[in-house]
Amino acid sequence: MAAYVARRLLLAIPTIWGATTLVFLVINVLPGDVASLILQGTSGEGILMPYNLEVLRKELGLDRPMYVQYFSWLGHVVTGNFGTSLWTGRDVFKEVIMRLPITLQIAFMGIFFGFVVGLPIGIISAIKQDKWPDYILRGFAILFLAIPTFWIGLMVIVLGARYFHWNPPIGYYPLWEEPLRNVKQLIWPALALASHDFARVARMTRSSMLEVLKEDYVRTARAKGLGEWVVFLRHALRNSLIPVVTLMSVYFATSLGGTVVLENVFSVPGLGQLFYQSVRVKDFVMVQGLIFWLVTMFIFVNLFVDLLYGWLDPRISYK
Amino acid sequence: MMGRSVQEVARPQAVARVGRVLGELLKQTLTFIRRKPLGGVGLIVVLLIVAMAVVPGVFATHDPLDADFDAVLKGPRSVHWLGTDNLGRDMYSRIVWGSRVAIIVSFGAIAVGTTIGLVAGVVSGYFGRWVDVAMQRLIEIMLAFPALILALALMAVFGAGLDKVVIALTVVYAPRTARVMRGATLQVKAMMYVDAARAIGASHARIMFRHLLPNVMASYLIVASTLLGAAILTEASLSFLGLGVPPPAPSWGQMLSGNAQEIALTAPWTAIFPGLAIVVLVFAFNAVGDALRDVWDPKLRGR
Repeated sequence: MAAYVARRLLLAIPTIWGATTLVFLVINVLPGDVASLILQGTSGEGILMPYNLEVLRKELGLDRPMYVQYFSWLGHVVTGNFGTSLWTGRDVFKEVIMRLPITLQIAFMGIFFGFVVGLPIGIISAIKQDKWPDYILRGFAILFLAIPTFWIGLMVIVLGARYFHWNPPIGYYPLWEEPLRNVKQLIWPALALASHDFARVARMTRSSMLEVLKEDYVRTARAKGLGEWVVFLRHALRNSLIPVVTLMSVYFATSLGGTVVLENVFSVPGLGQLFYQSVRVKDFVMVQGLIFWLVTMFIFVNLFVDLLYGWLDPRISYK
Repeated sequence: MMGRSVQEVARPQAVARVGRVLGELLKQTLTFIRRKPLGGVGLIVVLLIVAMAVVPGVFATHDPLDADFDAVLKGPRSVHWLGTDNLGRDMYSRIVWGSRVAIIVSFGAIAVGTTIGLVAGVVSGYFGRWVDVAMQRLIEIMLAFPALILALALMAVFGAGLDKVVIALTVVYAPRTARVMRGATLQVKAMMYVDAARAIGASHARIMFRHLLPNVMASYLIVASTLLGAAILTEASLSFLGLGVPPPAPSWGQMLSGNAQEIALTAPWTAIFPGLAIVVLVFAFNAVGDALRDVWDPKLRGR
């Protein structure tokens, strides 16, 4: 298995390299750079002096040919230096490390709530297939999948303020220092994310459970006189969980995308907020650093899920 | 008058054939609605919203851009069914016109994106070897980005605009389709009739278009119908972040963006109704997609 993990990690390198290169090309292919945005302001209200622009470009190293910029960035990354933001001048790596736990916490809390709510719903749906509890629960799942997560966030804020005189807490409190305030703040974006996760988990659990219930070993279990619930929970559930868990990497990816929007709705200083701000000002050093870490995280989650897969299903072995 | 041309003689026959095809389509649609009531409702809602997008003037009661400063932030009433926004514009009419953006973006991006994905997937799956390896590597890189993050990066570069949203979503959804279509192609490729076609000397193009393509069509339509809803949600998120369709053109996501949050604190309807519009359309698309999957995916039949 160690060899398998090593091979997967080696294979990840070209993917990460490709992704960051793609972003570099996309950002630099069209005119307009961070220097003119710094001088002009994002809405273009400042005055642009050609001389200042040249000086600033030189200062930021934007006057160099594109390939020089690219390889200098790449060379630094290999040595672990992600550069400094073109917009704020802050160290990219430090900024990422500071905000990473916030985004990860939201994403994982969302997935956790999604599983806690989605699994029982999926199981009940499968057991009561094509009866009214199934219809209602499935209807719920399809409905929640259709609601934009940012709109749920918006409604929480608007209705909370209007009818409960409640405002979501602003500012950020680290989990280890003030756990209660931290959770009180991050639970809202996490719940908004979970509104999609639970629906996906429920749907996947249902269909996978129905498939498993047709298997011979389920019939055997029933034939030897086991109670329905024992058959469902001990024989069918564990096997039907495999495809559900596989989807976890998908939830993780959509969660990362979702937090970009939700962190803006709830003004949470996570990676998503930083990504959105950096992308708007074409701060490509920051954007590439962020993409590097987002993609790397995603690849690691994928690997973890694959290993989990092998643990859940002993027939699968990685060599 | 001159003698009748060939086209004119042929026309009644062609009309009859089109009529037969349409009749068949109608019959199948009715069967679909009867067998899958939820999918049927979804289909009707989608058709209704498509109609709104095609002729918004018929459905709207006001000009969506017409600011009436005597009626700013009024709640729902008989003149303004869903109230007015902070510029006194009629919310109902703006939502009706906003359907145009939603429909253009979803159908446009999915039609182009999934077609590229379909071709790429079939070619990749059929040729295998280095073509497959090269294409799958590229797709892997594209799929390493979460959908919304890739779309955001692209929109930041392109700048806001309806056409640019379509391009960005095309780039996001093409590799996702290609992955599924490659899998479907590999399955079909293993069939005996593909070997038989090759044995009688059919060309690559013929095998791909006559044998593989028709047999992966069901999977393709299922993927495309599922992605329609996803495209709407992504467009709404982009517009919400101010990187989608620029104002004043009404788009549902954009009606919720900027200072919409503060406005909604005093006038909740300005945020509730555009959101509901998104929910209704995405729900309808998903319901149709689900029903299609049930009907077409033989593996899931009878569930």
